[in-house]
Amino acid sequence: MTYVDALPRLPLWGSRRSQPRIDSASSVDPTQAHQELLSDDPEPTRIEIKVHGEAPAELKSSVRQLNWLLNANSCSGLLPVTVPVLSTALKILIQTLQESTPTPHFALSTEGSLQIEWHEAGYDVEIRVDKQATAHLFIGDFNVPSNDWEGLLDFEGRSRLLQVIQELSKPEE
Amino acid sequence: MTDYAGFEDDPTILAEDQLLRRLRPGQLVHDGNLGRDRPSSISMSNDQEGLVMSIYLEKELPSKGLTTGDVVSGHPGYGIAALKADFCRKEEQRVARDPVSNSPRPHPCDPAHGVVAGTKKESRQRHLARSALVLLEPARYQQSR
Repeated sequence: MTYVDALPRLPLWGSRRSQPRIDSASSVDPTQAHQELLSDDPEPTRIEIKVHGEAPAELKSSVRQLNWLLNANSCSGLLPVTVPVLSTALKILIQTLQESTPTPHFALSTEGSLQIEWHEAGYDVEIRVDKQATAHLFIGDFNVPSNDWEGLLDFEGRSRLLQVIQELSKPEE
Repeated sequence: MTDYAGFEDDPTILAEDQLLRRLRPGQLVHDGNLGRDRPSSISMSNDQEGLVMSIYLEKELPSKGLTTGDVVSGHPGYGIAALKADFCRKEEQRVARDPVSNSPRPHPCDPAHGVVAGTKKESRQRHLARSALVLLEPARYQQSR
């Protein structure tokens, strides 16, 4: 198994839940809250995240869906999804999913890109991790189309993404 | 400048003609804003060479003894989305016939193969995906707790 370094943590899990911590392996830095575990296969067909304590349901559900997708497309002639692409996608999920965030949908392209998407509550959110593992963000606002935004998932993109994820994570009234 | 990979638009493909696009497993999303399932925008990207998107011309199928379902013959778990030719043209795409012959992996629908040629930035892929109708659902993840 290959340990993929986690990005610096951001306090995104909210105050109601303590930070999940990585399980197993003595090499794990205890200051890191999580770490992805990817197989040594450069084109993995299964991913795993180990977390101390209770893993957030949204994260577990996302990993299950990703594993289903990788398996369902493993013989379909798609260019395979690589470790860097999966690693980037997992980091985005870990850093953005909040308690009560709806589980996103995942889809693969023919050329090895992976897309994470939500289409609800008046928002279209699409994060495309291309085959170079660069993440692009699109936010569509059905209520205020002038708020639509598209660009790299850099500092500004991440800030915009977090704002929309908070909106998506609000309990239904 | 849009790259059409050398394809010219074929005027014998009429505005209302349906273009059938294969959907791979998982390329179907529920769009709560539209209130229906639709293809993921990622399904409307150009093929691996990055020049064109493969489709099958629905109107060509019956004359060859084929049905819409034959498009996914030999592709378990795949689905089918339908696009209108005129919508693709409005998105600055060219629609052309491109029958396949002598393929190393022949398919019954090869004679009805065509392309939607043109650069497809992600915004264009989104437009195409929103306009598409799902004729056959691809395999999708069944959430379990």
